[in-house]
Amino acid sequence: MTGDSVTVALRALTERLSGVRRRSGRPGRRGWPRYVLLFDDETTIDAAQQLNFLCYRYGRWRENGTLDVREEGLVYADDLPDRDPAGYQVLAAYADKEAADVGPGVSHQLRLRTRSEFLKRMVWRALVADALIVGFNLPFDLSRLALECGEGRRRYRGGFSFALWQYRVRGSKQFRDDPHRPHVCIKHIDSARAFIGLNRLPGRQGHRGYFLDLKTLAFALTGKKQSLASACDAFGVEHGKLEAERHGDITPDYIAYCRRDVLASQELLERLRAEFDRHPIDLDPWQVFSAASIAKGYLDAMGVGLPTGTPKSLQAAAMLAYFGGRAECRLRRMPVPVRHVDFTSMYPTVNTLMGVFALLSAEHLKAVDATAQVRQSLACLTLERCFEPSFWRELPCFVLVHPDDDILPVRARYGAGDELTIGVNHYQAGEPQWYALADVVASVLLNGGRVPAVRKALRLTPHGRQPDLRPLKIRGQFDVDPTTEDFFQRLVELRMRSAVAPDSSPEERERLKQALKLTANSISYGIFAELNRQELTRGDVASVRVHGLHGAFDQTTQAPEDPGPMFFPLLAALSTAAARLMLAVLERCVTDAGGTYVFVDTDSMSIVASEHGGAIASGIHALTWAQVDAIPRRFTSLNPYDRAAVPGSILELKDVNSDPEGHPRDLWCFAISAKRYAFFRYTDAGHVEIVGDPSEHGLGHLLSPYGPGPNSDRAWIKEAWRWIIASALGLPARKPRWWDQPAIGRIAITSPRVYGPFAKGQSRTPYAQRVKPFNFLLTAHVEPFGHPAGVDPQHFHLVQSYTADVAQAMARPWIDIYSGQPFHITTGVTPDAIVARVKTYGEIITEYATHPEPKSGDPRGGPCTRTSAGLLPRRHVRAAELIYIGKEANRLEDVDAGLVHAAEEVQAVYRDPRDDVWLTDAMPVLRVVTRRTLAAAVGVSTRTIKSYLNGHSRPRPDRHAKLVQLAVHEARRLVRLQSTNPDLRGCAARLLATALARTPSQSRRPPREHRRRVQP
Amino acid sequence: MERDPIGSDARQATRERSLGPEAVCVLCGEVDVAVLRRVDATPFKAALDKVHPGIWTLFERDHVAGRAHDAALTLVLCRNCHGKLTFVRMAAGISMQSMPTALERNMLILRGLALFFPKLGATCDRMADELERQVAGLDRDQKNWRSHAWAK
Repeated sequence: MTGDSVTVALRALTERLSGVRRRSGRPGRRGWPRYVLLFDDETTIDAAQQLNFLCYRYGRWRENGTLDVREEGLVYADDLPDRDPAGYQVLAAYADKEAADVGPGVSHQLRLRTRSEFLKRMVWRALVADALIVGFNLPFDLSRLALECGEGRRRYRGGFSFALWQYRVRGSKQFRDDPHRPHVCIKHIDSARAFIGLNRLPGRQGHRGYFLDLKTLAFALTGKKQSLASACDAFGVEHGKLEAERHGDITPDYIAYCRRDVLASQELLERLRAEFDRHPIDLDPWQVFSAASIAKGYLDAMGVGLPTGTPKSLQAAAMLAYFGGRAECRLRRMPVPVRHVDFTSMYPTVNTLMGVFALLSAEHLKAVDATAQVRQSLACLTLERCFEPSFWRELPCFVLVHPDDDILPVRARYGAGDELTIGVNHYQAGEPQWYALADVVASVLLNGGRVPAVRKALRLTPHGRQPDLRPLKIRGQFDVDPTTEDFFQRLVELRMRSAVAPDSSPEERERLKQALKLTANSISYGIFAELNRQELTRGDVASVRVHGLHGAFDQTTQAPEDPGPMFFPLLAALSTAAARLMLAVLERCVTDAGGTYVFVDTDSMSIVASEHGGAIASGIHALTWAQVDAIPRRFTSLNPYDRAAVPGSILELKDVNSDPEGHPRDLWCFAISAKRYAFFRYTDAGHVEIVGDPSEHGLGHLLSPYGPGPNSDRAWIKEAWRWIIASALGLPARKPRWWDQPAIGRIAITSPRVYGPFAKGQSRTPYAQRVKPFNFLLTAHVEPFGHPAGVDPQHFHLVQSYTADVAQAMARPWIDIYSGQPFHITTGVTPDAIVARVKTYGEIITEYATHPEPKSGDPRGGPCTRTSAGLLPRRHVRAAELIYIGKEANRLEDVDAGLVHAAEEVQAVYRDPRDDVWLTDAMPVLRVVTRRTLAAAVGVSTRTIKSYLNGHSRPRPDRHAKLVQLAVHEARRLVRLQSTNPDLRGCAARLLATALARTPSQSRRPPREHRRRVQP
Repeated sequence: MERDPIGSDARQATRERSLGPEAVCVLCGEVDVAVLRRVDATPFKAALDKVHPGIWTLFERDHVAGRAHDAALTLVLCRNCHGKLTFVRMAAGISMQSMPTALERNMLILRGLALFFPKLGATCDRMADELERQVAGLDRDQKNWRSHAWAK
């Protein structure tokens, strides 16, 4: 076998064997609560961000879906009269002077209440009245009102529990939780979503209250993370958000600004309700967390469930064959002229072509052996055959292939770290693996017609139709009948028609288009792969059954995954594989014409092309615009839609190819790695001008170096890209003025783990004055070798309470979230025991500009490194070790912000004990070596080594690599000395025979520390 | 004028939860949850006996200004009307709890009377209508009734 040895990871189907949470039947839709309490906080701008005052409105819904406001008021912090007497006076005078904006029949007095009175008289009674409690970014607002906080439990584990009501113990100064009042629990999902509910409500078991974060609902209905201002714009709110000149100081203007925010929130709520109620789904607004929730609601409303009768083994095979979308860089760090194309609604299109809705709405699915047909079909496969719609109907099929240098998607540790990425590479494996047929077809197309060795093929066939299918009106406007129509197809057609509907306003057209697009995309793939990771209490584990290549095995995990209601890996695997096939067909069209491409990204490709074409560099030929324009025409035959709605081809040239007048322009592209690219053009003066929005991937977590204010948008990212491209071109590149500033990101305290170090140091401080959950934090990125002496770089992350002033942030101490210890930061001097050297924006951009793409090769041979440039070849890899993993995308924002330092923190890894070289061979061999020697070699205690060798814990990947290296060396010695223990000799022989022992990246020399040994 | 909207809504919601979504009085058909009370109906009489031993009446005494403020000022009302008046009083923010100062007490007494008087006025008006109808009846059937001494 040739090629680089890599650890290959397959997604495995898992079942919980213990602690299975029974899915209680969801109650029917309750409908909008009759009453609404809506509020918005204003806080101090210091580290504590404590409540200054808030504005609230209480109202009842009218028949027409607007709010009849019955009370409006201001609430001030209990300590405000002492803390800020002038501010309190302003507030009191304002309340006295201004009238409340309320309906008829109630007092027009603007109420002024204390925080305690507000909680007692308004919030508690709102809970009793089953009112909807509403805010924009509600977790932040609720955490300001709390008196104390703790860790959430059970369903809120990993979140916070806030006490809003306390009582004073008689004869004491102590306060205790009021046993007759609930805690409000909040578990953060991401910056747009959180689970919010009551932990208990006396006399009402299971009732969680009704909390609605407008940010979440706006996100679900638009698919974009929204601020209050952008959400108001998106939904055409009449009294949108205004900007405050200055935050923190209580002035009449600032109070009026806050009141305006609440009015904007109220109108936004009314608009969101109107939009949400158009969807005929059996869901309440507080149960909606994303567009996928709405998509699932539609399937439910149409009576579409999951087909029955699918054997577990087939579901397991589909999960093993599941890979996400294809994203890769082919032409790296080389500016070239391009034409950018993308597919119309990629996932709905391939689903329609494959007839996935017929599979989904079938009563039963049967898997039929199609080995002979698949072999025959692959043997006579041509590119032209892929342009026949009938061919795509044959693709719902899973194939067991023995990869032998075939071009297949491989999820592996390509680089030096433990990060897993998916690359489409030449792959060799020691045993057959499951793939969707579309991936195997793509291999044939890309590998010069070489057909992989097919061991078995199972084709899915639908039988019967689910009995409860019923028609409905999408968004209350368009009829869809699932018994006669393909839902995916219908959604795309409606979307295209709505874009040109003459009888509606442009805003309404945009909202309709957006709603249909979101529903179509969510329904096409994401919901079928939905797994929800449950992190158990520290020390708790759950038993799971993992379905691997060689059957099932049982393991324990601290983070089991619960499937979503529409989890069906068969369809998820088919859709993503078909999308990769579509890209492979496009790749063949380009390469057959003699061209190449810069990158592909899920459903788009940037093809190297200039107006007149021609050679650009050795082996890189630009197609002419005419040649590129001809390629989409070939895909016209694959258009499954009504031509009146979607005319022409499913592959189209993007707007970025044309200037504002619609004329084709010289567009250039510069790509660094997958998802890191920018388009640009040359100005008349020969300067680089970025076209469109450049990729923020890998930079989006950083704050704008211009700070808050009018320049706080993402303009700095364009400046960064301009510098990167100009430098690569050798043009004079002036560094932006923020270049040497420390690179600082903003994160929020969203979990007890991040909050822990702050809580530790402030236990005696009153809650209001503490740094609290959901406060914003600053985070800095420590330079490699810039860590203070004596800290573990793997467990070191500096944060600081938020301030807009960078100079102030540099001067104040930072806190390591792992140890809770304070440190200082610098961008200059060598670090010592309390100073960490952090990266500047310039260093981050310089690093970013050479980010490697290790899943591809280097044109000079070997894997792609930071210095690689030009046309990256596909790598030849072979599976040295096979592991199984759970859901890949967990806590994405924490990963981006650098809060996750080990992949295992966010990803479950399972190893089949029957294939685990560590368990079967390495551990017995290592037991021969003294623990002290091993401990010294790995840099851990002897107790840790004992734990590893007893199987109580597993070494981290870096330690694992060192220990395996030691085991290999020991194995050689045992073989040489002809050990008398036959079992040990067998282990040593097997260990030497495994690919692990021959991994090129691992040295044959033992580490220097490995000196003392024990004779066997 | 509604002075405590959220308090009214909380009471309304509590009663709706307690009585169920389609609560109706089996005696008079009242559906307003503001006046309906959950009663232990087994045996109905015995349950009422527990509350008012030996006396079973549908009439109750209403403290017009609140018992805590003026225990002597009462009127006899049926349970429904008593309930309705109490509910309206609470919606208007008239606390039934004792107030520490005479000023606050008197303020609440006046608020209570202000709520009661319109109802009393409406009742007086209704009674006047009744008398007017009786006068018209006498004019029709007993044309000389005005000449009788008892009519003077």
